[in-house]
Amino acid sequence: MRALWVLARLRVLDVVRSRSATFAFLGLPVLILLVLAAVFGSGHPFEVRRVTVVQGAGELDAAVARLAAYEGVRVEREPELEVARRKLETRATDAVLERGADGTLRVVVGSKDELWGRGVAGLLPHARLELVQLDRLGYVRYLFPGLLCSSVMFAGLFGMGYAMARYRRNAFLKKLSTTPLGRGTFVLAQILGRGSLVTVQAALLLAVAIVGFGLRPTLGGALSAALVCAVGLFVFSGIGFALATLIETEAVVSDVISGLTLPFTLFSGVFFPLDTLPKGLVAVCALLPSTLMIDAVRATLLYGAGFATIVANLGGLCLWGVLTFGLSVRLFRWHE
Amino acid sequence: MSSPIVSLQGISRRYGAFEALSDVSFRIDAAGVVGLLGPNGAGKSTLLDVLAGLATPDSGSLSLFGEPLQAGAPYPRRRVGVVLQREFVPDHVTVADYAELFAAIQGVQGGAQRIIAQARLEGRSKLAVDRLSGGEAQRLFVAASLVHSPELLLLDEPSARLDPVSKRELSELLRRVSAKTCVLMATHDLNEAERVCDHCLFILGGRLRAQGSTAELMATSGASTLEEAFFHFCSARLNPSGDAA
Repeated sequence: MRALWVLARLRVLDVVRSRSATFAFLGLPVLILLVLAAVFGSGHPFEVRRVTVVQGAGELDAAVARLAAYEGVRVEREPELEVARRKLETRATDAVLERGADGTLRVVVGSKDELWGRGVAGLLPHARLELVQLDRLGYVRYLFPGLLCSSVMFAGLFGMGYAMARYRRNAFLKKLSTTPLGRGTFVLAQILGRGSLVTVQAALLLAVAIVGFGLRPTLGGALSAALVCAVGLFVFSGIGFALATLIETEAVVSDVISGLTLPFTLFSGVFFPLDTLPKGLVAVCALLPSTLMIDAVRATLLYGAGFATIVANLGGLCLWGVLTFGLSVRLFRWHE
Repeated sequence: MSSPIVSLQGISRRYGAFEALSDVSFRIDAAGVVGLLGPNGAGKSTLLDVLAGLATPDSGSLSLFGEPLQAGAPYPRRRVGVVLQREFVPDHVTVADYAELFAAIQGVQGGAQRIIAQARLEGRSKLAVDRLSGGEAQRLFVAASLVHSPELLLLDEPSARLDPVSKRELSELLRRVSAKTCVLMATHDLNEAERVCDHCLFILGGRLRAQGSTAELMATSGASTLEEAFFHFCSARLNPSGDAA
């Protein structure tokens, strides 16, 4: 019986004596609860309906103002009709307001959304409702960039964070530090190794999405998305690197990365657009590297956005990369 | 007269309140095997860490190959080889992978084959390192640390966990290497030290207790074996702190 208590006590002390393990065990669940409260505190995200107004629709400003006055309705403007239609197809928006070739104002919604569409059309003088059959896999295509970016994100976090913590714990880094190997070479090798694996993973995911789910990216869009993912891998490797410098063991690094999964997913628009969050939080979320990456990949892969559209996101990602690697290099130590 | 390979003058190193090394001074002038002997916690690993550039002394001066090592100054890694007390190899890394990695880091053409040949693992190069026996793995680690022909080889308890045959093989390898290289080896195996070491350093409580050729140390202490000399100089069982040996 005494052995039972001693063993149980040792197990508790194993966590309590490590600051990072204590945070992972006690702090992370509370953090996750707060994240969920922030995301769902204003209601279910799908309660909010979106209307995309194709710019150039003329005297629509008054109509837009009327729609926007409703709680639970978000109105956004989109210059390209084709992009607006693709957003409807992928369920990124619930209605498209456009002017037809004959000059009539049209409210375009999916056939399952007729009731909602009638409500919107009823608010707008002379608007005509148009029902379209939406591909049932459209929302899967919306999810795809988020899934792709999550793979990149965790490849970076685990590939660098877990490996670095493990190598340091097992004195492999100490061994390497007795050789002429530079830390830059070591870090770059980790990124290259992980990058080659992620490339294969991403190509496989893309192939499945094209064959199985009707994704039709342009070559330029695919190349732009690949560039964003490469920069994203660099950024998340930097974050993993920073975690490994701050946390003692690979097990706790793993716990922390797992704990970050939910906030990163919910605050980066993997499942639904971020505009359902409180405004202040939206502004913060928009600056997260995961959001910058997902938005840019979604724009290029799904909506055919050109390179110029994602330059700001790429710039933001590069800034994150410089910050995380700068911090990590300052804190880096080869051995305990 | 050529510069000493290793020269320490008044080296001290603390970890918090614990004084791991205190005023350690010695020099090594020529190739050969030097044994670093002392009980657990005596400061052997700290001393090797200081010599390997992994820890910075709090005071004192250290020179390698006649060049003083100052804080922030580059460490002559291409002239030193190190085998740690516990070597780790990532999962699934084969003998060939490991040899190739260290040959590449040291920039030695054909070094991988040399490492494998020196470790006598030609038939096992495709095997994962963690599948090797303790003796085979240790031969590989030593061979990898020698690929760039270092002038100084630092080994921290290389024969720990080895069976007698493997220990004997390692001793023979170190004897061969010591013809051109200064081998500084921390060990608890006094029989091995007596067999292999040309010189010995006895350390206790972070202080150097005695140094000299193996034969001299035995003669000075009136001992017939190095083990007897060890207890004479270190009094490890009676006074492990080393305060009043």
